[in-house]
Amino acid sequence: MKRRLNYTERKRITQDRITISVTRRKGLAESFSASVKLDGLNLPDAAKVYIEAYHRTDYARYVFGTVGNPILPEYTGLSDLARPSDLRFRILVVDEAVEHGLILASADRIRPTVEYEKRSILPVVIEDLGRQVWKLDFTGDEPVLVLNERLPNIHNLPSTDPRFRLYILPAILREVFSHMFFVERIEDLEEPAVDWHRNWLDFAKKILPHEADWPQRSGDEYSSEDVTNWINLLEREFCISLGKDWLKLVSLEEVG
Amino acid sequence: MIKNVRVLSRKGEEAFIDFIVRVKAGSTDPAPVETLGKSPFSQEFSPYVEVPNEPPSDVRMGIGKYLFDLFEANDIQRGELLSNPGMWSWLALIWFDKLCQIGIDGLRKPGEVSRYVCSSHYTDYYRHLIASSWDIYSLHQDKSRLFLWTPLYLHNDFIEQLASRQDIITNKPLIETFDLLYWNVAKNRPKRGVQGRNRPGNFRRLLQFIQQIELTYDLRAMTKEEILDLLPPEFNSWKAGE
Repeated sequence: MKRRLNYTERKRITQDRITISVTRRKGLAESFSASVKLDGLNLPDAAKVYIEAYHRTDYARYVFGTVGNPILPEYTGLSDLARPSDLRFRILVVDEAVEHGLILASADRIRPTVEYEKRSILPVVIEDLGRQVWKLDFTGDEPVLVLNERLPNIHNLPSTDPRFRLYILPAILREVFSHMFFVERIEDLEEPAVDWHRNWLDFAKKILPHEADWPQRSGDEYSSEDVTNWINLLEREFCISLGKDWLKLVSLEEVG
Repeated sequence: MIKNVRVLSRKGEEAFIDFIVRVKAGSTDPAPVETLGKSPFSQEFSPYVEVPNEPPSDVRMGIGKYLFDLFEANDIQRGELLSNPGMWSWLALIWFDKLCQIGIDGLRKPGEVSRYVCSSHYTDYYRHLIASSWDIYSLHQDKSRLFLWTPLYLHNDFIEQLASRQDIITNKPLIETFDLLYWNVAKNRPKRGVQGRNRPGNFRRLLQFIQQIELTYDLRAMTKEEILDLLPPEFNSWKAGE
């Protein structure tokens, strides 16, 4: 797991402080407006506020004034970007009075305003995957399920097809937690440092609510055996929780 | 000979993939340029743009620059190109002989499919030999040489490690820093040892260092000189030259 040291006591701008609205024309992002509440974060009035929009190798930076004097820039056009379907935003508060611009507070991977508390822990992106049906993408700061747009009716499968739910969701669960433990090497299950770890662990706690079922840390890390057993148990319980899907699946298979 | 630029349809991409799979299995068939150059396998790119039958350069930098100039001259927006994987796949199809050359045994040894058939997903998109050459050149022009100095058919480690990171590859002062540290101007190629994992200050170490400081400093607003100032002593020999 990459360690993110925070010697400069950089503040995290939480999503509840951010409102970003994207205006679209015929589905294409045209411009955006944003407001960021920075009160109570103890930031100097003179610090600059930047908002960056990005997608793939497209990137644009906009100056939103300073902490003490926020402004909405005249131009917040997005049409020069690659007409993205999943545009993200980054917010930076920078102290430019010091030798190198010091980031005092930041937020990254912000999506245009949505009901973020209702947001799925597993965003879905429909893309061309060639002959691969699905894959998990861990390159961002949360796992994303990528489904192959070449498959008919792929948009509806996760919510409507019991086969999809029973065949793929357990595998996703296994891959996500294996990645969390064995690739990113989560250090603390109680206070995870990464947002998506916290979200997925909260989800797992609903399936396995008893602390005794969870892996215990021995020394600085969790034992692989403990974690593997826990993931097996989690997957089994998760499948049990999909009981209705199981019945539907059996019925589908019987009918052929 | 000149061709009008076309865009492979899904059917065209499927057929192109089938061809690559056959080549991997030992087929010596030529690339199906004529077959896939028609509907329903492809359609004309709009606006009308022409490219030569043979790639105008054997080096990725040359192709990147050629396509950058071509699309600029035709006033085609970067966004339209980024979101048009079928067009990049078609270019790879017509230039396939140079992207996947025939060996002395008469066979080709294709790399992964994403080098030729462009994916709309960025984690694969940058692997496309033509699309990434244009993309990186369009972002950094002559400072893209570290990525694009290799022959057209090669996907090098700089692209694999750096171009896959959106925050790195779009950061101009940072790419200038990589160029200044690791490019040998006199020999017109990367400095010796830059990819050696054991040599202090190699490019992977710089990448690690950047990942440590990118949340602390506003790297995009800094000059390359300011970024160089931040580097620890292990990079001094690279600053000095060879």
